[in-house]
Amino acid sequence: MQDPPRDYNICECCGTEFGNDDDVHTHEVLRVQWIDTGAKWFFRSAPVGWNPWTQLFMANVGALRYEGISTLYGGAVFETAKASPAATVAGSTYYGVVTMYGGNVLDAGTGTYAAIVTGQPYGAASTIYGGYVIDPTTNHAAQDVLAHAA
Amino acid sequence: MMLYIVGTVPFLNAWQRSLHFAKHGHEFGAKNEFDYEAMAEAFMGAAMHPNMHECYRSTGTRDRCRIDANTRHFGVAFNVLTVRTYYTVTAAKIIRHRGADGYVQAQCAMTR
Repeated sequence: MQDPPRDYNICECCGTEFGNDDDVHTHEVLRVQWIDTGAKWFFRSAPVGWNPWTQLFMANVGALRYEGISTLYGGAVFETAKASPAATVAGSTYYGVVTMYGGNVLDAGTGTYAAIVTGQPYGAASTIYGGYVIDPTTNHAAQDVLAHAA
Repeated sequence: MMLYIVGTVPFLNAWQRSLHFAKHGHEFGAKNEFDYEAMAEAFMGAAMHPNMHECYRSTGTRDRCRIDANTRHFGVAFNVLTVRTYYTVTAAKIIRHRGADGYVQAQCAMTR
């Protein structure tokens, strides 16, 4: 942000007005709402090369919620207990994804695995809370995960 | 009695005006950011009436917050002359704060 996140300043990225929008909702809730509506850049044109999912991952905001119904929308899937990438899926069916963190995608609605993004379950002891799979080229859903449900 | 000088209440800068217009301009049917700014200015300078509630934040620049309970229009200005924001408060938020006066008082009590 050009201005600090207070005093009714508005984030040019997500459109949150601090002091107004966060009067009722927490920043975490607002973030989820932004993601659920496509994580679009709010004001004018996004910076060249900007990718919302990369930004979210770099901000280390924690596991991104997956509302999984039928379509999974982009971003980084990562293993919350480890900092290292679980898999890189470039060249896989998640075409165009540069780096993917994580493995299994847990459907928060059913509690079951919705997809195994690497083709194999990732670490038996690991629990993956995630995420969003994106084609950064198109910013569209890269995969319908239920078509690949475990 | 406070005297507001209409015609001298712009946003802090063009960036702020554009951002707030992008966020709230449609709530007022503003044609462009200047139209929106003029509405904000008029609102902050309008005469008080029984359904207009106003208070001052105790922190920082002592922002002046006001809301019109009839329209749910809300605005904030500081140093009398500069608009921070101008938007329409949702009915749900008004109810949550038990009325327009409760909403504006909560805004004035805010410390961030």
